[in-house]
Amino acid sequence: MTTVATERPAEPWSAMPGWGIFADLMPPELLALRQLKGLRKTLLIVLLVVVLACAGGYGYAMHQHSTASAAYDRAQAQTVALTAQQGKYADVTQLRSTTAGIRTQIASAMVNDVDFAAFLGQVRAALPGSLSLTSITMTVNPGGSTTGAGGAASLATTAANRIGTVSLTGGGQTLADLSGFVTALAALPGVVDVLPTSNTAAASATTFTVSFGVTDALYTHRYAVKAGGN
Amino acid sequence: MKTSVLQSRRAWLGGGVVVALVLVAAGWLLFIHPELSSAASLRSQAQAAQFEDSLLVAKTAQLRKQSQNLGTMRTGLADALAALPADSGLPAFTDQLAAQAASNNVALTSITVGAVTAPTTTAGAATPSTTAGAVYQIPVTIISVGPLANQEAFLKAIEVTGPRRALLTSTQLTVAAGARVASIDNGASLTTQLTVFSAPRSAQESAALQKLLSGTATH
Repeated sequence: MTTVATERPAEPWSAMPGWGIFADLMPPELLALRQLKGLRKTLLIVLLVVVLACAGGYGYAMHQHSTASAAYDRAQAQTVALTAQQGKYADVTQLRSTTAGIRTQIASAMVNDVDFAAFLGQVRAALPGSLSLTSITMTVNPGGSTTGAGGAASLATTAANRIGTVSLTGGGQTLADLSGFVTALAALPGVVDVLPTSNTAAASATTFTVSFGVTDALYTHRYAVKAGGN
Repeated sequence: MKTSVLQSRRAWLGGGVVVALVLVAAGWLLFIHPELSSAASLRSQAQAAQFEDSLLVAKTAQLRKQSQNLGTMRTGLADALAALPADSGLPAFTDQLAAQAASNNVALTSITVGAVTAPTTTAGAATPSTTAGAVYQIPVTIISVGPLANQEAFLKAIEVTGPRRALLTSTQLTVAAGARVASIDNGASLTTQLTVFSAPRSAQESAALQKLLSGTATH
């Protein structure tokens, strides 16, 4: 239990013989208790530091939350302000939507629109000078028959849907006059199954009838509502 | 004695470490993490709101620009209403046909109006009564007399110029009675079957449209 120091030349009392001898009479229990106390103090300080660090972390998190909340509030306030600003232009929005709605109704109603005037002009333009027309009948019935005139089978190889029929009657000078007209009619867009159903020579003239079908290629689509348009 | 002190030290050290860990875990789980998580959520919401705001800004600018053309937009609406009126609009359509016949030098000899056809439901049955927003069909048959080229111009006016939109379903051109030459070129009688449309509107809708047209809808 007693410790004896033998060599301590650097210490002042080492000059006197025997003076370097000292004894540590502190009871080890007391020493241990003191050390334990110190440990407790250190632990308390460490725990305090931990608590402070947690508080600091929480403060940082709160600051982050507060900043984000402020940014969100600002954005929402701007949304409200902009929405209110848009309210000033409600008449523009209403005009646009109402007009678009009516145009959509028109587009739906006019989906089967065919330019009769333009088509009749094309038929007339295909007529050779030696022939004249006495009647033209054009009927468009999109839901009707897809067969040829009078229910005859169609010779058309086109994938387009047949939407109507046209019948022509007229007169000419010779029977051969009709051939060129039939060929010209067959070349018109949207025309199928051109049939010269009769071609009769009389005393000084001929009479003929021609019938053909028209397809959905004649739809104008002029009222179709453009995507994203008004 | 020494052993018990050592054990006590270990207990204090171990306990201290455990308490510190518990404090850290509790602080993170109960306070810091929820707050950070909420902050992240708010940031993401703020970003979404800012994106929405940028769209609103662009839309508002577009509306501001369009508001400078309110007159043109009102004219567009008036044109659309003339094309598809809420009532039969037949007096105005008759006036339109008469004017177009006159301007194309054809004689309008007959206008016959057929029964109004109600729009069909998905099952194919006609709707029982007037439905606001639905489009009704009114068949009209017109007979006019004049040279073929003029008749074509008359047809074009009906189809394209309007203002009432008319869907032509059938035309028949025959040599006009009393024509000297048996050809439709010089004088043709044109029988045209067409359909005009009507979209009935409620009193409130009509009032709102009138306000829009007069510019008293807002402000």
